[in-house]
Amino acid sequence: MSNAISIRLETVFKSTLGIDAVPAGLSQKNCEAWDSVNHLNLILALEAEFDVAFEPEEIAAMQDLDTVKKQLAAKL
Amino acid sequence: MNISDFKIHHIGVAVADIESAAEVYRENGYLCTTPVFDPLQNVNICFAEKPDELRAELLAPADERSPVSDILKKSGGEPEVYHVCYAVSDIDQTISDLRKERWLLVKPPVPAVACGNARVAFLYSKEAGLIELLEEKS
Repeated sequence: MSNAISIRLETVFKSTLGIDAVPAGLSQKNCEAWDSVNHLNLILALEAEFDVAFEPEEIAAMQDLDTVKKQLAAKL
Repeated sequence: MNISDFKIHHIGVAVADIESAAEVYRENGYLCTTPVFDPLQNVNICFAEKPDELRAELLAPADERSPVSDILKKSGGEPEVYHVCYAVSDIDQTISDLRKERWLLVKPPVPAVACGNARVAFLYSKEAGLIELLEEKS
């Protein structure tokens, strides 16, 4: 994933979840703001930012930053 | 396509205990169906109906893994209306149309035991929240 894509991805995370930093290892388990509703908002924001579409099983699997990056990279 | 063109089938209400919630509805003149367990959502479901009133679907989590459990955690255990269900004639076409308008398909069509195995799907929009589609064949 290019640096430019990573920066755009971080921006989506920060604005959607209202967090100041996007540390490696970020996940739904260690981020209170990443709840079930914000998870859907995050996916919608990613779809809009990168003009991609995620399937329900992908959405369910994207519970941590690493998986989000992998799923996104596969569509770019 | 606009969801306001669809016919509302029911509202979905997350409750902690299906029997106690149904009892309150019965006391208020509703007829409640026998609760059924939906393994796909991991919830117990019953419908509360009264002539000329909006039908309510009461959903209680079977255990902590149920998505309804998360809703109740956020509401502090209080009952919460969390989705509106619309009846549509062609669920696949409706999903396709809504996806073009940036609705997110959260759960693809599956048979719902509480609805006579009619297919249901869930979609989400940031502006309108969570909706369920129920396929009613004419």
